[in-house]
Amino acid sequence: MNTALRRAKALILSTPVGAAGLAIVLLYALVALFAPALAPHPPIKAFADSVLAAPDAQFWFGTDGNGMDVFSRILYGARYAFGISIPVLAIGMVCGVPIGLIAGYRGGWVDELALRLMDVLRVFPSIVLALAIVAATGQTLANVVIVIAILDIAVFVRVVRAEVLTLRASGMVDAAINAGNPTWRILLVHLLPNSLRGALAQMPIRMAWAVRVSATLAFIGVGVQVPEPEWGAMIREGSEYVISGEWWVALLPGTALVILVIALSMLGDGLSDLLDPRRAGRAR
Amino acid sequence: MSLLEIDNLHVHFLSRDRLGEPRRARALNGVTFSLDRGEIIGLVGETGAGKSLTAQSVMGMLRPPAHRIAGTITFDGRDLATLPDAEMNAMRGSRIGMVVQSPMTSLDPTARIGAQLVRIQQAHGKIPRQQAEERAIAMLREVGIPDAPRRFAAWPHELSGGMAQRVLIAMALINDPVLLIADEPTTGLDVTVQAQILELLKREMTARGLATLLITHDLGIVAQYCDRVAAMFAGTIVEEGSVADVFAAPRHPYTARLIASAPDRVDLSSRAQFAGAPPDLTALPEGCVYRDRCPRAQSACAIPPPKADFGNGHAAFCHFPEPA
Amino acid sequence: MSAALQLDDIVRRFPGPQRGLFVHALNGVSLTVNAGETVALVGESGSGKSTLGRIAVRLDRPDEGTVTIAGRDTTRLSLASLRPLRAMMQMVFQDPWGTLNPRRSIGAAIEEPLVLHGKLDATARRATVLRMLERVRLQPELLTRYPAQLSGGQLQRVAIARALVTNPKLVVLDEPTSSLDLSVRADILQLLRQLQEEFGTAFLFITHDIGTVRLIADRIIVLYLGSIMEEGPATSVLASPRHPYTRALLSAEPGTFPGQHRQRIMLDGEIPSPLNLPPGCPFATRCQYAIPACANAKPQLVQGVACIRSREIGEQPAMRE
Repeated sequence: MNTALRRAKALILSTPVGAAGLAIVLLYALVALFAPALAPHPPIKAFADSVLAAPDAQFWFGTDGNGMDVFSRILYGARYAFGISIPVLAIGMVCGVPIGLIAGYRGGWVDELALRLMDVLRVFPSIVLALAIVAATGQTLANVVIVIAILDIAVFVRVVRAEVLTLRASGMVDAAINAGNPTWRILLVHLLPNSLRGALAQMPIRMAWAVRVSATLAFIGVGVQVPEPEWGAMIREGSEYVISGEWWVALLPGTALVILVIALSMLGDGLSDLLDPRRAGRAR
Repeated sequence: MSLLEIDNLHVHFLSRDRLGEPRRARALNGVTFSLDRGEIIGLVGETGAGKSLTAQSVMGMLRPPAHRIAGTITFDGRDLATLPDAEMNAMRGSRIGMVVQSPMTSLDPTARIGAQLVRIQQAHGKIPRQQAEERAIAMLREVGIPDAPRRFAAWPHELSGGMAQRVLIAMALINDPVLLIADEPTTGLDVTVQAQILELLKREMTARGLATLLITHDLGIVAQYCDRVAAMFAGTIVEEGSVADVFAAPRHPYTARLIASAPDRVDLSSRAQFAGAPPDLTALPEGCVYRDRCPRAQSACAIPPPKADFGNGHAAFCHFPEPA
Repeated sequence: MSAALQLDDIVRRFPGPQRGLFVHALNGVSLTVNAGETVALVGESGSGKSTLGRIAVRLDRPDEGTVTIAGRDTTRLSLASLRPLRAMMQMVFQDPWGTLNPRRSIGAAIEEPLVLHGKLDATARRATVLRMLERVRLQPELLTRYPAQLSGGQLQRVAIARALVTNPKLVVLDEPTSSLDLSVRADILQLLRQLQEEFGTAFLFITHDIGTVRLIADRIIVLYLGSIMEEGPATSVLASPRHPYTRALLSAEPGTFPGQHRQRIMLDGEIPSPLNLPPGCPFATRCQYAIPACANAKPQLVQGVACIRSREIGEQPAMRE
């Protein structure tokens, strides 16, 4: 057996839940990448003669109220899930990590200010805040991404700041100053690489959260709109037909969403296990 | 028969490395010693020698990845290793008391001192609340806590390090144990406070005729407070004997080197090195575990060393013991 | 030649648990460390010894007093303007695990001060690092290892190499051996002594361990509750301590010769809270010799001892062997 395979085996053995989560997330990513090749029909092509068709050989997951193929739309929906959550994560980390780093390093009023700002973000129910901002600034995809990302910043500030404080207490900052490091070098060379563990473990969980919130916004009717193949929007559209018996329109995109969110959470759990410093020498 | 007899105790840490291969660290390799009533034995050795692990084994507190592979621990005629959990729990805190290094983390931060002292009495027998409280206050007084009735209502965080250690000693002694295990009981305390705590422990041990297993890295504490000493290296007891004999003429090369590095004996102008690389517990040498570091080692050391007996209970496990 | 370190009347207060309440960490401490000498700063927790060490290398600033390193007043310098001076004042910390960056190799850690201060090119730096590694008796193979792969004793050697690589005038060693095993401790102390002979560096050695003081100190300064109790040459302080606190401290240490019964001077209680200092002698609350006059005014350091009764007490034998 070569090393890569053995490592993979060791990973599966040490965190089977995380490995399963990773497998599902990768599957979704492949679907998003190759949606055009995989989808049997174009996602926004309306088959006027088969509106609300039940699942059959032609439309595997049936069609929706506009006669569009639910299966193809679900596949394309994965693109929205990643297309929203990845930029959200990027913006959240790019803004949150430096703020957490500087707040933890400088302490004093800088830290106080950063913490208060993050508290402001946290005390508002996130959905309501997002709803208000998107409603006010316009229902574009970019606005949805930015709003969710801003809410995410607080999380990254918190985890990075906590790690920096630990490093400060352990004496690493003093030792770095003592060696003659300028501030920028202490931040970038000594603190940054050692304070990302918490942020990394949070990534899949924050992705799951972004997928959920963006779908919720679409479901409420803010954000991405039908006929775009976004799962939240699809659930909203389909919810009208659940009572009349056309369950597939809402239930199937809902299932796709739930599986991805759970898989991301599993991946997050596995990751925090793996990155846990106390894990060294754990039982078999 | 001795109060505590540990015979051929083997404890291994079982885990997996990053490639998923099983790893076996041989932490205890045939620890054997006994402890009589009223006797104080000091367990010394470097970090990782297995001192605390030995104590944990006696207390039945081994948790994975640590596994007892072989050996017996006989306390008062019963094998602790095979005792059901419930009976072991009953034993801990009543017949066997324990004092550990960090008193602050050993006390329950959400309960007052008095409540904790009452709780530990009630956990080990039916005793009316009033009587338990009176005993708790008397015990606090006994361990030298001034204004005991008022301190009875104090929270752990209101205590200084020395006071917290006194409370912990009170908790260890309140159910009249016959065996006390003290694992680095004064490490982290100030020297002047350490002296107070050690005097207190010594007084209690003598007054109660307690058998005590004292684990410490401080050879001075062993020399001044213990009757016997056992030196450990890589999970093995390499030498044991009375404190007077061992400190006067250590016979195992490891013990000799350890004692020579004590601050009041060391000669810094010598160019000799005192320490060696810590042993790799996953790849211990065949035969004598100290072989790789031993200046006296010869080819014969590849077979397990015999017990060299020097009389008066002084023995070393070595093929070529130091001359007296 | 000016002293490697001179501290004059250092006062340091930290904000206490409530507004208007202060932790009085240092209350007017003056001391000098000369080139090539080892001064042991002895005290228990709460004595202010670590704060003093941090102030000496300006990792902290004093509220009052002046800090002079090799003739340069560093008291008012900003963090940025202190940077070039750090090459001549270094610190070795208690916990080498926490202070070394786990993601940087041993070689990079020792080389860092040279990169930041030196005018040396990469080849010369590498040669210096290798030489330094040899001085602290570590194998050259360790250069590419990471802190997690080394033992505590090895890591402390790395920290010492890193502190000495810029050839500083002063090194503050804050409990550098207290987390190490006895035999490793002996090796490190032996190494420090050899390095000092070789480099002529001044050491301010902060410790609570009397055994270590015996081995390494040229001079001893005993600190209690932010004030100096006693100061003097190591041999005389150890042989005939004059301050009651020094006597108690020395007698509290258990020796490793069995049956060697020192007369223990047991102190009652513990160090008082530095939040509200007693007006007189800081030690009076625990001192067996205290008289009412001790609470009146803080005793000045006269001929190396801050005690108004030192003369009377000095006539009694300190310890019996």
